Amino acid sequence: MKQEPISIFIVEDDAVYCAVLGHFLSLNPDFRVKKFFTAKEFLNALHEKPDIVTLDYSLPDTTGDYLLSQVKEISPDTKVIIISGQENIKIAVDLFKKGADDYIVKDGDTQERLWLSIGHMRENIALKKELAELQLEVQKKYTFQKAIIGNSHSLKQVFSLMEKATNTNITVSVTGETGTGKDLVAKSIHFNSSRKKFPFVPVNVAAIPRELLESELFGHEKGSFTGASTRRIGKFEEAHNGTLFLDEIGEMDVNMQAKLLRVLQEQEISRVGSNELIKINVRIIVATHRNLLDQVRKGKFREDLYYRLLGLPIKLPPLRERGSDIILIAKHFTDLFCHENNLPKKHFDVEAKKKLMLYSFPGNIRELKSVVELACVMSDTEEINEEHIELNTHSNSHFTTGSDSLTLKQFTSQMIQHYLDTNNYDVLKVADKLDVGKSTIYRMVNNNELKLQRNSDNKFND
Amino acid sequence: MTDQPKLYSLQRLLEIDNADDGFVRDIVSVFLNNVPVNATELIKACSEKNWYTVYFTAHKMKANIDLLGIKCLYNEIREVELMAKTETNLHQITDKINFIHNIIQRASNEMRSDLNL
Repeated sequence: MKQEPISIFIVEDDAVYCAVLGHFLSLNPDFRVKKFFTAKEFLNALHEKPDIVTLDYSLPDTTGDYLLSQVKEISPDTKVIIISGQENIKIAVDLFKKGADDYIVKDGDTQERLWLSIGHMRENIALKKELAELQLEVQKKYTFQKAIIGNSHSLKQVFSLMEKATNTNITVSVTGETGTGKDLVAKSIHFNSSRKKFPFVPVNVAAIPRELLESELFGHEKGSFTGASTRRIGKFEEAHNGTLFLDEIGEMDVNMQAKLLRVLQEQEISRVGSNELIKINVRIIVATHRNLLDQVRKGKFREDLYYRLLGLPIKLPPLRERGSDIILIAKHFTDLFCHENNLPKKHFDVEAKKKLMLYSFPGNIRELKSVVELACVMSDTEEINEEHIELNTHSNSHFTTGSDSLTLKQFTSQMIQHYLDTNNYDVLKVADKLDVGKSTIYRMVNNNELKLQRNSDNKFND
Repeated sequence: MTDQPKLYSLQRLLEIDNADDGFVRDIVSVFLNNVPVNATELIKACSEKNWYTVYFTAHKMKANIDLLGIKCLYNEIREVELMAKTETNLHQITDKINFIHNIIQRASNEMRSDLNL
């Protein structure tokens, strides 16, 4: 890691010493050194908020005490090294109490000790700066409008719900088809809430074997079961003061559901193999692609837990119901992919946009992303046209809008419409493929059950 | 070069990392611009019995005297600092300050001629 330059102020009325320190510190090209001979000059420049100040304790116009308190007030992050002409433990202790970071006596080793002291502080400062930058970056990354792209009405409703969620600690349940961005919603809520400085801990319930889930969530003591060779902190403890995100909660085993319910009600956990109760303060966000109410009816999900977890429900719309958001998101992914792979910026032509808009995207945004990335690779120019977009053939059997409540008639017409759409409205070809008479199709067209052209209410150009 | 030992020593300065000729000359110049003036201030403050200024000036000069290796003043300057601070044995202080002034002038002259400053 390249270290950032740090700024050092030397406050020293002794010209000889000031020159020696100045020379010594300028040996490191990363140190930006400024010298001040009087307290007044120094106080006038303090607004620049230096990283480190070396302060001579006895200055003619004021005392080190006063300057120290000024530094701590005006620039609290600045490290202060007091350099004093005498070794006086009482004064030193007093200065440390007031917030000095080091106390060095002027003698033969002053430079060496100063060098060491600054070296330590520098690491500290670099880490602090890095941490602050990272926190800012994460926050920026998960600003709602940046993380989740779209202008559709359904998405705006989601934003307004998320905003309500960030202002409170209410449990949030996110539902939506696979690939609609449930975990992104969870992360965005966390990083925009007052808990953002504490951990966001995601757990995919479906990915952890049933037997291990309990110790994964609650931790275990050494020796509590075969293979538990060390004590382990669970996800609940890890997420203390932060957010625990339980993805695929619908897959949780019923026994485990009972334990989870107890924890949520009591706000305390005990590690596997321990009797000690540990208080926890965790905001819970759960997500599932299943209809939990359905699971409750089938007896696969506990009703009491269902109501506990329901909290603020956020339903994410599937991509195909988000209209021209498809193009917005496709654009975002193209830009991202081209940027990451040093490709020139690419854009979709009209036919390509139509093709994307007409597809149902059963895999939602996850699928759109891979389609777009492939298109970027396939296209050799700056334009992506229809041919570059390869839609998943598997999805041919996936033409419904995902709703289970279709009549047979609606089902049939949707199926034929899908085939028409994907076969360039060639009625003969579709009739042949589906093994129905072409007259059947024409009759349905006449009855306005089918369309022989593309939907015109979709916006292709944004 | 005479056989008489120098009143000062550049050893401490040369021990500092990367101390080259330019650096030594810089530091010695700063010394020559400041410390002899301090020594004169010491005499003035002493004649005015302004013991706090005597203490403060001696305290500041102490580090410079150490740095430039003016060995024969190591103890004297500390004694003056202490006497002025505690205002004890003040009958001895004038002699000591005169001695310090004298040595500082001589050492400064040596430095000037040695380094052609």
